Amino acid sequence: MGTRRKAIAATITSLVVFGTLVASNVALYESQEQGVVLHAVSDEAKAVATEAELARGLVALSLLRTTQSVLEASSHPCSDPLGALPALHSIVLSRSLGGIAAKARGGVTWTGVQSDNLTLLTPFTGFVPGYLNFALSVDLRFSTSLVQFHKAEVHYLHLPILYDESIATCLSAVGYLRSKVQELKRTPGVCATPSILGAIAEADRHYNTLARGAGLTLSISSSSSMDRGGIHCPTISYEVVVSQYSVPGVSGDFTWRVSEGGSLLA
Amino acid sequence: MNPALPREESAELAQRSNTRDAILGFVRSVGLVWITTSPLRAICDRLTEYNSSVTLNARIGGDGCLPNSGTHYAYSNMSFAMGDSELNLEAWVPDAKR
Repeated sequence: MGTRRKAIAATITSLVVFGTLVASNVALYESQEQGVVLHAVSDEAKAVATEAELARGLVALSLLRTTQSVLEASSHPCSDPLGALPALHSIVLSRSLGGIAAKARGGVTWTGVQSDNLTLLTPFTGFVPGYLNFALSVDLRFSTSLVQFHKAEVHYLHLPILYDESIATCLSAVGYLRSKVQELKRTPGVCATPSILGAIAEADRHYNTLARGAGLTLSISSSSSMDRGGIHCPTISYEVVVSQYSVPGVSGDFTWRVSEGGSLLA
Repeated sequence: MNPALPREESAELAQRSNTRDAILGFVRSVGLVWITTSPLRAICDRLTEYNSSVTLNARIGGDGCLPNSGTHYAYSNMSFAMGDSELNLEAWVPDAKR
């Protein structure tokens, strides 16, 4: 009888031990499964964060590249350099990297913050007074069953164009030239051609020196036309050109140029 | 358990995270402008100087800093448009047994 009880007790004990082992194995399996899920989520979240940083940088780079290609294509009027380029006020770009959709809208801005955390685009990040600056709104989205990601940010960028200085120099030279010509004492019946050409040459010398001090190059070209059969005094056309050579841009060095022309009756 | 979830070992996930971080770290150190305007040879030179515990390679089409040697453990890749071509930055764990 005692032996039978012992056998029953041993059977119950082994069932309990076996049941506990099965239960703990199931718990262990489930925790490992959960561990795999957590690792996968964590990995995907990290990947998204990494790729978001790159996507943000790449879309900002695209904005600067687009802008540079527009700016280097031609010379711009000193009185309103960007007036002829409305596209630079609203550039829309989209990009995809590793499943992250990056949409950006940007354009020229006259105000902004000097420090910006878009370090991937150093040295073109941040607002720099006097340069040509851009504000960029970036919207980043990523969505899977594991990770949802959405970020909207505003960044400030610039191209190292001496924008304010080049326009000021150009307009100043044009204003100087016009006032000099207005001040000329004219003799009735005598053309003022030599005096006007002298004023142009003087303005060229004076402003060339000023521009060089600011890292710019200025030149004033002129030409005269006798289009009235030589009876009347000629019209003298002039053009003030201010250039900034070798601007270090995002797609290599380029030239920024503004100009203003006019004509003067001699 | 979602059957669509990756079944990789956590060790490989961690290593792959390292390879991604190495690529981002390199890009941060040289900048996006430099990397997208430099010739492959210059990028290879900078990769050689860059101190990383993972193997880094740059490739444009069939040309790369390192020879193409099959599959790699914990491999990561990021690509960048360079004009008409595409630069691929790759990273993997060196000498790892799969």
